[in-house]
Amino acid sequence: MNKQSVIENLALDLNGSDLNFFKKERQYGSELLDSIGLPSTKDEYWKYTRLNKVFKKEYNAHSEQGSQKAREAFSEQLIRIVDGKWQSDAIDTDSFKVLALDKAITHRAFKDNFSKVRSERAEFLDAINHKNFQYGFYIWVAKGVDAGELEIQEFFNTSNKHYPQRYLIHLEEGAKLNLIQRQEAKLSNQFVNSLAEVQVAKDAILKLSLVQEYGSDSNAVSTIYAEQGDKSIFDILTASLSGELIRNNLNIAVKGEFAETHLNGISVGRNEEHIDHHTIVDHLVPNCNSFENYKGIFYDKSKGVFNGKVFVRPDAQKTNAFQSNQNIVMSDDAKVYSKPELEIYADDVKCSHGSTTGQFDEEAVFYLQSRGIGIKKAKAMLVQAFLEEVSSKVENENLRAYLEGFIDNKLADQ
Amino acid sequence: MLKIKNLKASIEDKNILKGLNLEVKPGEVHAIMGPNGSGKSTLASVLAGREDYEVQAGEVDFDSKDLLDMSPEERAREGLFLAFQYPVEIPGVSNINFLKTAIAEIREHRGLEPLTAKDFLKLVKEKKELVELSGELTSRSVNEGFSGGEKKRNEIFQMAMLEPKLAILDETDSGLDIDALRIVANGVNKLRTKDNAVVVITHYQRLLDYIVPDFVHVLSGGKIIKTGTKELALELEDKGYDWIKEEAQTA
Repeated sequence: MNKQSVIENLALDLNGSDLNFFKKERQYGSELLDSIGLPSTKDEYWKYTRLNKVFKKEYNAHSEQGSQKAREAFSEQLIRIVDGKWQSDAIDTDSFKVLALDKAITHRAFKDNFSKVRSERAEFLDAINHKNFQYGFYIWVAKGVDAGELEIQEFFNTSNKHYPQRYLIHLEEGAKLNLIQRQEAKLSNQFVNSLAEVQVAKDAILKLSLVQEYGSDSNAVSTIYAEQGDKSIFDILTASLSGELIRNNLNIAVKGEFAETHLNGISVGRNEEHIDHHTIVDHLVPNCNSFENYKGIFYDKSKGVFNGKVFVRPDAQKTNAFQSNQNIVMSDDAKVYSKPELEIYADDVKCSHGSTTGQFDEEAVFYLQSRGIGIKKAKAMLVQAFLEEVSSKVENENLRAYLEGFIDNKLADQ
Repeated sequence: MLKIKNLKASIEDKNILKGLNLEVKPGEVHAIMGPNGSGKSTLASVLAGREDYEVQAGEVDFDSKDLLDMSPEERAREGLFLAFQYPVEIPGVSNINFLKTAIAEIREHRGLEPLTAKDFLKLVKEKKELVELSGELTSRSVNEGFSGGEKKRNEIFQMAMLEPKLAILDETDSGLDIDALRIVANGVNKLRTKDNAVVVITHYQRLLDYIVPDFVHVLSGGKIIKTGTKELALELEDKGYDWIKEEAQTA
């Protein structure tokens, strides 16, 4: 595969409508691309996930518009965005802003913080995003403000299109937000390439639920770089429900003491779907807690990949880090590659990790059947029970019911 | 109610049941006793529809229906209940939700209106007293963290809730102390009517002091080799099984 042709395939024609403020960022992306090669399965980070298939698809050609059906709202505060067009009013007050990127540049905090949280060792698709990002949003919550719950539904409504999405979520000191972000790309040959920066300042609390639903030949790579300040809480749920290939790169740098991090995941793989979660929690300072719990169900010939890394740096004494990945394979052809990793450089810490992957508990199925419960219902109950540890933590009842219903429906189709 | 004719069953190519006959009528209590490996639990499993077992021959008629033709859930809906020797722990599924679902599916099968939430809870309250099961246990996950005795009491509680025509108790007495045994047996006795029946599978005569059988069968080598009344159980307790096996061989 030729790097230059991939870069060209993923390039966007922004029609000269681009803002000056972003030119530097795009330049940065172009420069990065000079030095970064294509992701390869020879690289440990991409060992089980080949992007060749994603890169080989032709974007920019023969595009077709879909007719986007409205989805039920989970939350009272809802913003819908279809191909970068906002169907709802943006939020633009002195204490809370939810804006399109091109509208955000008048806000001082946006200019100060945009593209500040990023990796020292950028990935190829990070660079593609820096160079090409098009749609996305900016969220800012002012010091001490509780912005409540917000749902953002993003619909990707053009086939054969690469969507380099860009996000900046910035919570100032003591701010609070509960964000539900739903991405839906159900036309053919779409590639959603998201790059998000998340800044959770001192005492701030961000709860983020990502719901990912893509079509059977659409792909997504979602990368998040997050930073946490003192006594902050960052709680993220990633629900990967459908898509040809989904790869999540979640990178959290815990920079403030007494911070708390929760990482939860639900994966549902079917047919030949491929769902990959790579997470990094980097404990840089003492007295922090992180809890990670990813659960996956894999049917048919689907594949799951989990790689969770927890770093405990030399200064990070009194760290409490817990990590778990559990999977059920529902068929003989489903596969899971799970690798939890701990790298500990401090001596006074409590860390544990575990990974289990197995078949359905047939004895439990029989037990339920023997009480008159039909086999499909019995399996659905057991899958719900398996996911309960994660799903019970979802605060929004509609979202929780949606996730449970989604899994029930998948089972009913089997 | 239950007619088993010449039942032959195997697991992993090993023949366990080798031509078993048994008839159970409404209102009766049958005890099946026998040495280890005689096929007692296999019989329970085959009747409940456990997949691991293969039926090679024979018929099982349950209220004029072919039991062997039904899925495990259909058997339950038709009124068969198996109290497990080793009840399964199911973390994340609450006892209450589990029973609510089971009753809903059974009632639907029988063409009955769904129970209202109020009636359901009333039923739970009434039935759990029967086996002296605490409220805390009924709201927990199915059997999770239950003691051996609590698990067995939970089996009988489920039986009480589902009101089966035929209950098969598979070594329900194993692992029970005398108090728990009495509670479980009392529960079973209170559930007896002239229309339902109980098959008690056990190693020991002890349980039969509490649940008094009308018939005692000795299962050995995959067949019932002797049938008697409750006195037979006492004789077995006293003399063991060898004399019956010899008697059967010479016969």
